[in-house]
Amino acid sequence: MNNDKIFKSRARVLDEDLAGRASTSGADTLLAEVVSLERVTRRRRLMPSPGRALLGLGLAAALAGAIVVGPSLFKTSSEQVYASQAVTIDRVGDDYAFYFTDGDPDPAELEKAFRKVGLDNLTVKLVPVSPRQPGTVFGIDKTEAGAVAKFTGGDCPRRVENCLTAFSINADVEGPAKVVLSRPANPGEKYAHPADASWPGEALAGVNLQGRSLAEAARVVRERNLKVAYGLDWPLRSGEEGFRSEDEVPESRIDPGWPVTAAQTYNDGVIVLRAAPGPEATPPPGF
Amino acid sequence: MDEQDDRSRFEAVYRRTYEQILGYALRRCSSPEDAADVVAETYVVAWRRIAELPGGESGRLWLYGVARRVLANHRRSERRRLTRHAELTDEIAHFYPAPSHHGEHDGVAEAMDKLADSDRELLSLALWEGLDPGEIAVVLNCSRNAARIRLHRARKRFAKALGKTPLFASQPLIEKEAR
Repeated sequence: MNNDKIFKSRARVLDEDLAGRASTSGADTLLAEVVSLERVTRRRRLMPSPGRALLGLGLAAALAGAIVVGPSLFKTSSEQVYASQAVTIDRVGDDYAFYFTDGDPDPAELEKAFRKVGLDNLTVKLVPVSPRQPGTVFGIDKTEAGAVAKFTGGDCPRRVENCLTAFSINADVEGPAKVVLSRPANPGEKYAHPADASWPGEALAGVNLQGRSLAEAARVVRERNLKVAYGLDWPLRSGEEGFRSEDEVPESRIDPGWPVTAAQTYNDGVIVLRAAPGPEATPPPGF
Repeated sequence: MDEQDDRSRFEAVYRRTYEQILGYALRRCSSPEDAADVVAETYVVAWRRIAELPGGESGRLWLYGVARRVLANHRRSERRRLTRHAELTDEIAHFYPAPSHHGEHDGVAEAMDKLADSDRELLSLALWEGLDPGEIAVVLNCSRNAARIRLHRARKRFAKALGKTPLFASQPLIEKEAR
């Protein structure tokens, strides 16, 4: 037996042994569960949710000043200056671009990488998120007014294998500054950023509440011994596509007939039902 | 493309690729729960990124790439969660018999363990998934030439690792004697 055959013989199962599996009950159930999930939303969230989304981080002010959500930054030529299992760093004009490749990164390893390119005062803070949304960059907490950090999520270059997310920062930034990255939450640990509650493994796995009335959705949630909280997504006054999020909205301000736009979880036994307020609703100051 | 079109397209891709993605997960995960999670999370990613999912054969390669990333994250986080895919887990549990039918100490498993993860994955993609270097290049996001060279080196390292394992060294003698 040659080596290839030896290796192949160690497969637990071969594809040909799985013929017909695509139509089993388990496969059907999983398919139904997956397509009931909301796809990547095309709606644009203008601001990070200022309340629970950045729970305890005190980042909202820094984020508002430091982050630009926008198109790709990498139109100029770039040069790779560092690479490890966790991160690849490119110099792109006046910026450093970071491509993160580890969904459960070691802060010490990343800080070592930052120091290698001279970013001595750049540190890492990890926040727990759903294991189903690895590799999220939440932003940068900075003290220097001139620091500019830009998200480039999805702009991973093809050459960086396993790239999960990317962002860049001006190369002459002086610290201290802190990059806030996600790590998978431990079982039972509360998330710092909400996850879609209907994702597999989450509290409402496979239950699609989108489009249902808030009253009906709240009933479904409570039937599962979960608590309900509310959030509202207000359309932008400018008429642009997108919305501003209002969190922790009291039930007294909720119209039970408004349609649910999302059901979110922080893995804490509470489902946040988000809704688009009706045209008759009056937005709070600032919205 | 509206949601109904996306659903139809996704279901077609799901039915066409499910056995291969299930196989990919089963061959790499140490428990049916983990395998079920990897399959489920792979298709969740595919559904959420349906606009990026290529058509035809490229879709299967794209899904292998997603599954590979999902699996890597599972391993990194060393999470042991109660899977919620009980039905799927039950269906695949029999692929995980208590004692390995291959035996644990014949030297081959030891040689495979000696390989770097990247070498093992290259050989797995070639020999378990049956991909050629061009297809491996798509999954690993590298050039075809790089895939071919790395595969060649992985084969050499596997051969070397096998050669160093005592029991394997006796196998050619047995084969020779049987002729």
